[in-house]
Amino acid sequence: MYLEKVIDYALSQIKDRRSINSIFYLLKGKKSIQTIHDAEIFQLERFFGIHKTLHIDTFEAVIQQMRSDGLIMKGAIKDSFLSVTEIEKVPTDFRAYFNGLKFESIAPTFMNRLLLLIQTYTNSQMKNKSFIPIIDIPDIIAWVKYFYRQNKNREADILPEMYHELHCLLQYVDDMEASLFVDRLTGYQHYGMSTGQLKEKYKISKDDVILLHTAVVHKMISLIHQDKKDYPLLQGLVDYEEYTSILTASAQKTFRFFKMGLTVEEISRKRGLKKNTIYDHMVEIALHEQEFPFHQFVDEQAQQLILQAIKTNPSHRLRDIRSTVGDSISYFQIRLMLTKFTRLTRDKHGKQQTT
Amino acid sequence: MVSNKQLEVHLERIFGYHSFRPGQREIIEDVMKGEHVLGVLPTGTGKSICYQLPAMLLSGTTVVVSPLISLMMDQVKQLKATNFKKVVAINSFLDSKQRNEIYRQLHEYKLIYVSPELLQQDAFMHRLDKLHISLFVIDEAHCISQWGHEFRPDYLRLKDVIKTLAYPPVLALSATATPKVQKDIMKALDVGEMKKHINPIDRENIILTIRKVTNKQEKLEEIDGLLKKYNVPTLIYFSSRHACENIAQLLSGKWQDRRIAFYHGGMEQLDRVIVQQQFMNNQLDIICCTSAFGMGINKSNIRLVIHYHFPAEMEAYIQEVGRAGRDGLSSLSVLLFAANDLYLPKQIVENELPSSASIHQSFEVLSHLANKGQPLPINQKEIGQLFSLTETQWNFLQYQFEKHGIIKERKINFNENKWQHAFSTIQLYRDERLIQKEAKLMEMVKWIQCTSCLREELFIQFQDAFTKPNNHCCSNCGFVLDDWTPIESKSSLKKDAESWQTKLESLLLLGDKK
Ligand SMILES: [Zn+2]
Repeated sequence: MYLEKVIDYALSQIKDRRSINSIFYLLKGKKSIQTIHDAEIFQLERFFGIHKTLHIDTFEAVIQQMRSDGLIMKGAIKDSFLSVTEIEKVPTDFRAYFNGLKFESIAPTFMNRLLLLIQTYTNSQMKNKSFIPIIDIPDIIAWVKYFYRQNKNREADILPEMYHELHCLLQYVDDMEASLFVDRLTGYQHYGMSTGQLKEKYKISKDDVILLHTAVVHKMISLIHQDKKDYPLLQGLVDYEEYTSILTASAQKTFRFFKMGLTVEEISRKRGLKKNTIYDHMVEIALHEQEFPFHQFVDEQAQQLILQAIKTNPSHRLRDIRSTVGDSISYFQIRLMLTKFTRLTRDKHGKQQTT
Repeated sequence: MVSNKQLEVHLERIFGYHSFRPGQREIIEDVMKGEHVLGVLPTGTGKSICYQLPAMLLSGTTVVVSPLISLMMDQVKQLKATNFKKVVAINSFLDSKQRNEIYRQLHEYKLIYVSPELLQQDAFMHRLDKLHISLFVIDEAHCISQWGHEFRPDYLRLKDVIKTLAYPPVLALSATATPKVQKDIMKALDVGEMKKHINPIDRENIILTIRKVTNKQEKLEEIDGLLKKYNVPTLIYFSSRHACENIAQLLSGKWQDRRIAFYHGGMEQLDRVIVQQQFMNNQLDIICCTSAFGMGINKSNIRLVIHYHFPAEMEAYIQEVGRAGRDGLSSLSVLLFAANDLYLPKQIVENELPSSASIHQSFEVLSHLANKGQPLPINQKEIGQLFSLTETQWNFLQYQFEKHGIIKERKINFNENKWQHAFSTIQLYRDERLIQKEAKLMEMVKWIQCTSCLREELFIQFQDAFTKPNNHCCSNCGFVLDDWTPIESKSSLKKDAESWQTKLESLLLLGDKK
C-alpha cells in the first residue's frame, strides 16, 4: 500500500519520460549520474535511496498488481507506465516526510545510534552491565561509547531528555506511524519488534514497514535540523559530515583534482580513467556544486542555444536536444546545461526540498 | 600450573558456573598441560568453555579458527557481555581501517577468533607469528574431513598454518565426528600424537519421534496438535526460507495466545539479532527457522523441536535436535515426513555446489578480470554478485582455484592450457562431492524409514554404545505423545493495547518516577 503510493507519485512526476526501472533505481538509491539526475529533473529527490533493500522481484510484482488493479497503465515508451490517479503536486501524507537525497546515508546512522543509545542507557540505569548489543557495527559502538563517556556526569538526565525529545518529534506524525517507530525500539530486558513482527502487527507488507519507518526517521531528522535548539540531545546523533557527501567517491577524487586546476585530460591521465568517465564526474559535480564554472566548458552563446533547445524538448532526452542544436555541441555540454537548467527551475519553484 | 581444584574456582569466577559439565574437565586438564587434544562433545554441552577457560589462564594468546562468521560474532558478544573483554573476531567483513586498528593491538587480546581464509593472508600470519601462541583451537574440526557433513577445503590448509606457527598446542573440537572423521582430523592436522577425549553424543533426555504424513495439510494438523497439547519453548525447522515465513504467518494467525516469529539467513542483521534475543529473553514462545538459527543460542529450556522438513544429513539433525533440553529435562523431537519431501533436500544438496554451468561461467569471469588486469574484489558480497555464486559455492571454488594456481589471494594468474586442465579436474571433483552428499542424504532417508530403535540407528555410526532412556526412547520403541508431560513454561502474553506514549515512557524507564 505504501510502496504503491510512492511509485504512483513518482510516475505522476515522470509523466512517461522514463522507463519504470528508473523508479526502482531511485528507491534503491543507485549512485549513478542518471539516477541522481532523474531525481533532480523530476523533483523526486525525496525518494532517493529510501528503500535500499528493495528486491527487483518485489518491485515487479507490485507494478503488475497496480496494473491489474487499474491504478497505472502502459505508457508510450518502452517499459513505461502512467499513473491514472490525479495526484496533488506536493504530497501531504507520509510521502512528504522523505528527504532521500539528503538523508539516505545519515538516516541509518542516526537510527542505529539511537537504538544502541537507548539500549545502553536503560541497561545502565538498571545496573545491568551485560547485555547483547543489538547493533554490532563497530563505528556505531565506538560512537555510543564516546557519547557515554562524554556525558558521564549527567547520566541520569539522558533518558528523561530522550523521552521529551522523542515524544515531541512523534507528535508530528500519525499515531500509527509513531507506534510503529516505538515498537521497533529495544530497552532493558525488552527487545523491539523485527520487521517481520511489525508486518504481522500492522497488517502491511515487509516493504511497507521499511518505507514507513524510514519516512518517520526522515521526518524526525528534518524537524531536528529545523530547530536544533529544541532537540539538544538528538541533534547530536545526526552526522552532519555525511550530510553533504552525495558525490560518489570517485567523483570526489576528480573534484579534488579539478579544484587544483587540472583539466579533464590531465585528470583522466593522472587517474588512468577514460575521459568519458571524468566527464560523468564533472556532470555529477555540476549538479551539486553551487559555484560550478559552467563557462569553462560551454561559452555564453552555446549556453543560450542549449537552454533554448532544452525548453523546446520537454522529454529532456539528450538525442532530441542534440538534433536541435547540431553536431558542434557535445553531449557533455548538453548534459552540463541540463543540470544548470534543473537547478534554475528548482530555484525558481522555491526549493521544495529544504526541510 | 593450575591445580584441578583451582580450575573450578576460576570457572566460577570468570563464567559463573559452579561445576564442569561432563567431558569438559578432562579436555581442559590436557590442554593446560600443553598436550595436543582431540575433543568430541555433544552439542549444547559447552564446547567453547574448553578453550575459553584456558585462554584466560594461559600466559599467551589463544587463537580459535571458526568456520562461521555469525557464530564467531555471537561468541564474542556473549564473552564481552560476561566481562571477558580481551577478545576479538577478525574476518574479511572488517574494512581495512578497522582491521589495521585491531592488528596494531593484536598482542593485547587473550582470545582471537579468526576465519580460516584469514590465515592464508601473509600480512596476518606475519602478525600472528610474532605473538606467543599458547593454544591453537580448531572449532568444528569435522569441517576438515571430506566425510564430515560440512567439508571446508580451506581447513586442509590449517596443517601448514600450525607448522608456520611452530606447532603450538592444538585443540580440535567437534560435536559430530564419526570414528572415520576423527581419524581424518588427526591425519590432516599432522601434529603427532593427540589425546583423544571422545564423549558420547547421544542425549538421553531427548525423545526422538517421526510422524509420517501424506501432505502439507497433515503436517499442519500435526503441528496444531502439538501446540495444543504443549505450551513450551519450541523450534520448528524448515529447509526453505519461503516456507519458514509462510508457516510462521499461518501459525501466528491461528495461535493468538502464542508469540511466534520467524528467523532465516535472508533477514537483515538487526532483525536477526532482535529475534534471537527475544527468544533468549522469553519474549517468544515459538520460532520458525532454517538451519541458520541456533548456532550461537544457549537457551537451556527449549522443550520441543519440530522438523517440518527433514535435514539433508544426520549430523545436521543431531545438532538441531541437540538444541533441546540443555537443562537436562525431558524434551521432545518430532520429525514430520511426507513422501514428496524427498525432492527438496536433493535440490538443496545440489545448490551447495556450483553447477557445471556456473563453474564454466566463473572461469570466464576470471579471464575477463585477468584481461583487464584487475584483482578479485575484497568482500564476499561483491564476489558473490560478480560470479553469481552463494558463499558456500564460492568457498568450494576458491579453494580449487588456489589449488590449481589460478588465483593467489586476490591475484589472478592466467594460463590458458593450465586452465583447460583445471576446468575438467574441478568438474570431476565437484561430481564426486555431489555423489558423497547424495549418499549422506540417502542415509538420512533410510534412517527415517527404519523400523528398529531410532536412537540406536542414529548413533550407531558415531559411537559404539548409547544410553537407552529408562522410559521414553523413541517412536519405534513404543513412545506415544500422551505419555509425555513436560514442564510447561508460563506464557506471559501481554495484550498490546497501550498507546505509543505509554510504551515509550516505560521503555525509557520513566514510568515509576511519576
Ligand atoms: Zn528407541
